[in-house]
Amino acid sequence: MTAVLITGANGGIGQACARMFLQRWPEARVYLGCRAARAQATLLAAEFAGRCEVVALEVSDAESWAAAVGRILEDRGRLDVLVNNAGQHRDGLLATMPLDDWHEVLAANLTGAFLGCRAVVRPMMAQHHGRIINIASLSALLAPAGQTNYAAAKAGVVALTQALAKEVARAGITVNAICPGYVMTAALAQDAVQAAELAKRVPARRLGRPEEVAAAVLYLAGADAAYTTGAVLKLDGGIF
Amino acid sequence: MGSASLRKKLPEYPMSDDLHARIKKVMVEELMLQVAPEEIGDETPIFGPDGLGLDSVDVLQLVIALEKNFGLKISEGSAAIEILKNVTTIGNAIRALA
Repeated sequence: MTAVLITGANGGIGQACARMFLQRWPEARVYLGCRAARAQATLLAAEFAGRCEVVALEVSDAESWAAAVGRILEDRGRLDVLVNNAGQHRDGLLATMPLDDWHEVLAANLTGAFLGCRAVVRPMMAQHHGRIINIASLSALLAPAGQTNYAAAKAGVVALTQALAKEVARAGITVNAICPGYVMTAALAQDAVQAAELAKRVPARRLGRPEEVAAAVLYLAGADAAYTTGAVLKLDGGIF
Repeated sequence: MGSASLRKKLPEYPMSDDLHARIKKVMVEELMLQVAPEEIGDETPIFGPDGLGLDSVDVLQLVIALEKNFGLKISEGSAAIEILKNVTTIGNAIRALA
């Protein structure tokens, strides 16, 4: 049975990834890493009772990672896929950015991904198999004004991905990054005006769907992507 | 005290040759080395140009494999360097667990 851990599993992309694993990988047991907000994750775990559970996980805390991964290894004896999806925005101009906004965004996005990779690499090396998918952002490649913190963090995630891929390739572990552009979120679904404004900026003239990110995650997690590592896959409808 | 009862009190350490052979087999399999286990000398250096030529990633893989196969936990630092000198030093560390 394949064990999959998805962080940020209460949000749109995390939920879409979890649901797609559960629907398309009948052997998968999916662990939903969540911090305080977990209503959606709890509902999904109930829907797929016996194959899906919520695990408490604060991604910027090494001990929290150790506890979550330890729980999964005790339960399943292995951990095959990690989707580092948890992230946080605190947009603003650099000149007036509170230092906390810099530190928090780096902690949630970059340090969180680093700690996650660090927590799973050894078990994956012992298995001679692993898939790490880091959800970065188009901002890592095309940094917009107002996101010096977020863009720096996600660019760091891309670089971390490429470096780690080289370290663990011989152990049968692939490490790849996905850079989503504008993706329809629950908030944007309620704000048709803003959604329409964003869509105008995209050559495809629409926002991406969480399921489209999830499909890319499943590809990178699967056997067909065994020779794909260190890759940076952008899902942006043609913006960049 | 007779020799039979004395033998009963001694812990059963694996024969050096058996243990060393197992260590070499694990090294070849886990690190995908392009040599046969029996071609690795007991004193062949793990590190360095005159030895197996492992890099840091190989060493990490070896540390993980030794824990998985023998229960030997190697922490980082000077102790690790001593243990990982060659098959003999690894064998000694494994025997010390008993």
